[in-house]
Amino acid sequence: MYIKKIVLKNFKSFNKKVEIPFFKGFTVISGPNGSGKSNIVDAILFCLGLTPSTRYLRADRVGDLIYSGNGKLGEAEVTVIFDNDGEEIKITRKIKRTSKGNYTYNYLNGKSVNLAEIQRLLQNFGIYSDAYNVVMQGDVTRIAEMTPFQRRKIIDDIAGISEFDEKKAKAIEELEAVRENIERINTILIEVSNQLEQLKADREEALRYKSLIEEKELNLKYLKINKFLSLNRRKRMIKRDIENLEMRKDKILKEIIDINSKLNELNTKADEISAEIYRLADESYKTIQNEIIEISSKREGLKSSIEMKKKEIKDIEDEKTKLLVSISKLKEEVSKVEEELQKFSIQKMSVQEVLDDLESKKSLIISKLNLMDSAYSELRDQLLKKKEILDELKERKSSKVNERDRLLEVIRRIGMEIEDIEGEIETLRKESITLNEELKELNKKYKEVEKELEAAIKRRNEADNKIFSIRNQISSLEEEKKNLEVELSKIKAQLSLLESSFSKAVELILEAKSRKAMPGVFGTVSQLCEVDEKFAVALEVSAGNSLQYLVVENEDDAIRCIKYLKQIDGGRATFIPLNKIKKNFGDIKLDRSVLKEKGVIDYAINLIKCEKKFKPVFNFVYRDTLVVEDIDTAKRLMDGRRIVTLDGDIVERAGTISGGSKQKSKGILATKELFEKEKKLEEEITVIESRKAEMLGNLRLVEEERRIHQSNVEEINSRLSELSSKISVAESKLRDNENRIEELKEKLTYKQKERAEIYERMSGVEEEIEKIDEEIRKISGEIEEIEAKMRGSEIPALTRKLEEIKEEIDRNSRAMYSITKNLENSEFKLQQLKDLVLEKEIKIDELDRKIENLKKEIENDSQLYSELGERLITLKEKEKEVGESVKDLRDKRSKLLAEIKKLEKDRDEKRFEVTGIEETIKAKEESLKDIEEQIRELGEIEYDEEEVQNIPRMEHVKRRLEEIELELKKFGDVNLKAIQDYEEVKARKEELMSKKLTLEKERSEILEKIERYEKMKRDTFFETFNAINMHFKEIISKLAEGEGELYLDNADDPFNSGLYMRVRVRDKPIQKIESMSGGEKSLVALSLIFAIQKFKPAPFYAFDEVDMFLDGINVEKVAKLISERSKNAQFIVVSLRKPMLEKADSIVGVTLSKDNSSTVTGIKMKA
Amino acid sequence: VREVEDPLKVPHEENIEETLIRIEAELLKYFRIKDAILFSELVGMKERKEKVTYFLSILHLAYRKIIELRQERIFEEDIEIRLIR
Repeated sequence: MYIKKIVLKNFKSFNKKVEIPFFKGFTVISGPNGSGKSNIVDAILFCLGLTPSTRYLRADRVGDLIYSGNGKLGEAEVTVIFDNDGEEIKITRKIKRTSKGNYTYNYLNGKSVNLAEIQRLLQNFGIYSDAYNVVMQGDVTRIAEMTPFQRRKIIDDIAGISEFDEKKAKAIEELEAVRENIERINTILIEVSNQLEQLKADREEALRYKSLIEEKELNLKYLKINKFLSLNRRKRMIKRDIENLEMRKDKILKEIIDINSKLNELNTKADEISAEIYRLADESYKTIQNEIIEISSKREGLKSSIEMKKKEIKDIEDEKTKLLVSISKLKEEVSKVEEELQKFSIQKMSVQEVLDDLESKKSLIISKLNLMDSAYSELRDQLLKKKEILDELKERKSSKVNERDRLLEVIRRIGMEIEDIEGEIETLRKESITLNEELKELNKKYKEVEKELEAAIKRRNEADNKIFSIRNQISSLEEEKKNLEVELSKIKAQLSLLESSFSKAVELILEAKSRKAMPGVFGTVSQLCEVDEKFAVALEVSAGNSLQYLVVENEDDAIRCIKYLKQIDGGRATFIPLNKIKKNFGDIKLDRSVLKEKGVIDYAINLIKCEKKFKPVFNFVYRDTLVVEDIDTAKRLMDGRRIVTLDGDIVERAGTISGGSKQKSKGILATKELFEKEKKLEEEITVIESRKAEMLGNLRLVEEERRIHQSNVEEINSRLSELSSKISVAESKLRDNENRIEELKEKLTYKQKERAEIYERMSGVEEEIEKIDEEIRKISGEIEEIEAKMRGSEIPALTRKLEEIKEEIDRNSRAMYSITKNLENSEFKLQQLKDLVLEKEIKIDELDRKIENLKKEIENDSQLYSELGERLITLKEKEKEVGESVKDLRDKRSKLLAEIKKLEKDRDEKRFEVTGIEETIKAKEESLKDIEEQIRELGEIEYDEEEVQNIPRMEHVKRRLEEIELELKKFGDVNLKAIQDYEEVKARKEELMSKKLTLEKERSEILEKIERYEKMKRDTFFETFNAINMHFKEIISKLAEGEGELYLDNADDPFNSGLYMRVRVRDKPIQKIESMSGGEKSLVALSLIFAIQKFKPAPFYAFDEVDMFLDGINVEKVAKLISERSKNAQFIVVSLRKPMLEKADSIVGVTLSKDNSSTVTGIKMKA
Repeated sequence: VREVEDPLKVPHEENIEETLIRIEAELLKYFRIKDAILFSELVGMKERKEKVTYFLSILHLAYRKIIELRQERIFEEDIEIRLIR
């Protein structure tokens, strides 16, 4: 493996990316001082992490390694690429200068890693940071100048003996620990022996005391057996009571079951009725309601549509009368036109007669003319031709003129029609505009009313929802009340049970107190506090009977109560006068240190929550009783303390311990809580009742509100339907108008087109007339010429006469034409009028039919109206019926609910009774348990019938017990524990003795271990020393051309001796290094370095100006040595010395470029 | 970074100053006729010792901003030497 390439980016003096290839063998880096050649070796050290700190890289901080020339780039990077038998290993290290500080990043083959991973990898290849494969000039001088002792340390480091030192140090530590343990055990042993001596005397006294105690216990046993037998008797009696109560309970439970089944029946019936009510009230009532609304709105609609139709009939009749009037006018006009026609026909007949006469005269004259002067016949023919042409022209002209006049007349008529149409369109438009405005107004109004209706419906629905939600709230309130009542009955049962657990006297006093007949009584101790459920058992057991003590204001109150009990023979009770107890138990001293002990919870007094003024009461009850987690903690802390465990086991101050099966809290301490709960429940029930009453009131109000909204909805609805029918009428009228306008428009365009065509024809006719006039003028001219030629004969006079007749004919024919024209016009007019009359008559028929239809519609509507009226009546009756049936159903339901309530009450009483029985059974079971508990407390009593017989009489037993007590009193503080303690201490002593033995054995093992490390350390050292010395001798003989060796001044104690070097350079005497010249020193130091490298070979070596102080010859020798060794490992040597460069396989030249940054060139010396 | 010392203070085998003058003169001769010269042209077939002397000298002349050296790919190309005018 060797370094294949180094890439520098902005590192130290290299301001740009520089890639420097390296080769196996011997490479020298050279160049003027200060050009940056050492920076290349620094780059290797930095990248591979081979130096402990940047100071080795001639930089104070890592940030200084960044090329400072171009300030802005705050980043530098060095990559070293190894070639490991063809496999490339790329190691990169980057420095970033940021505002927050300098950060370095390491990459292996591009992957981010930490420096330790890189160092581990390099170590696998024999590259260590302290292994001398990178030698700076300082290292050579340091080795040359260092003391022998320091030099020997080099061998220590190379041999790696520090590992043994560490192991040895650790062993010494262990040794020290064992010694301390042995010493500690010895001191304890002394103490235990003294303790044993002391306990011996106490033990004898304790044994004496113990035998008395045993005798006492025997007698107590007799007491116990006696008690045991009497308890058993009581037990049997209670069992019998429980059996009777169980039977009574079963009987009641059966009754409850019957009630429940009855209740279920009634409840399902009630639900059915509710569903029916809901269905009727909500569904059918609503459907009826909606149908009523629908029908009434329909009827309103019908009514208004009937009225509208009647109005429409009236309008139509008006229109009809108008039409009739116009028909009669038209008929007058027709008769006028007919008269005109008659007049024109008479005129026509008279003109015809005149014409016939004129025709006969004309033919006469023509025959005359024919007979006359043949000379003029040609002229006359010509004249006649011309005159015929003229006449023809005139005829054509007059027909054209007639045509034009006719066209003019048609145009005039069409113009009149167009005017009429435009007029009608205009009126229709105006009417439409007004209709539109009216429609807009109506629509606007319709929308407003619609909104009004929506709002009204919304209000009505809101009212419906309010009704529905109030009804729901009422039923959920009823539900809630029922649950609270059940809970209340339970609490009352619990309280009565608790009260039943008080003695009769206490009950009587409490009962008097509740009647306010006993002032100054606060209540029992248990009623005046609250406790956490977790501590209830411990606090109940440790308080014992005092929980029933009654707390009173002062001693007078107590005396008054006692007198009352005496008076009513109510039994006995204990009273705690608050004023008295305050004096002695106002405050009690508690040793707080014990609270730190493991398993200790607190003093009982601290676990009680009560009013401040009652604190002395609880100080008196609990005093310094300690609550602990379990019996083991109690045992540990029991000397002289009263301790109770969470399970209710109790250790008395005198040392007696009582306990056993897990106790269950009797709930006595929870009475205060229960009273508060009871009071709270009662308050809640009354609140619910008042809320229910308030809701019922609300319900009635909302129902009234709903009725108003409903009628409001109906009124608005009818207004709306009236508006909608007005709108539909206006819309249909508007539609008719628009259709009519469309029709008229089409007619208008048709007429206008027709008029335009006629205009066109007329202008054509006028053009023809002009042409004819032109021709007439021409022909007249020609006629005048011919006439001039024919003057002097009669012919002209006849011709003139003929002319005159012709003109007369002409005039008469024009008159005939105008008459026929007038006739035609009149006929046309008559026809038009007749058409108009016909049209109007048709319209009248149409109107009649419309009237007929409307009448039929009115008839139908009225029939429908009346039918709907009947339907409305039936619906209203149905509504009433439904209302009544809903009311009946509601009454039926409330009867049922009342019955249910009664049954439920009855059931609850029975349940209450059952709970009472259960509670009493429980109480009896409790007392049975107590008895059994007491029996258990008595513990195992082995006795046999015989023993029972031998039991002395209880008086003897009691007297003997008293004697024993007296004797026991003499004893003072007997340390019973002394017997046990004596045994324990004895056992402890034996235990300590055996521990001591094991520790001593351990100590000797450690000592052996230390010796072993010493030996291994020594052997490893000499193995390394000898190997390096061998290499040193070989190398020095080459370099110094003499001999040399390493030696220790005290080989027996190598780690306290120094390492010396003695060398004979050529023919000079043997010298120690200390007495050599600088160059010789460097040479010898270098030899040691080469020897170390040979002992611990690495894949590459870097030397930085190690030849600085050697003379030329020695440089050559070192160069030669390096060249030889570079066959097996890569050597990179920074040097200025020519002999070194001359031996190199390749030279890397480093100098400064124009911008004063380092620049690199390279030449190969070997081919 | 170490202070830049006078490159000549360090002990060399021979007086490098004379060598630098000689080689600079030789270079100037070339630069009269062309702008740049390659290192291989400069050293031609000279002996190993001479090659080392020439290489060290051009490093020092470049350091003194007399000439400028350019070699894009180190070892793989020849070194181009130019006069800094």
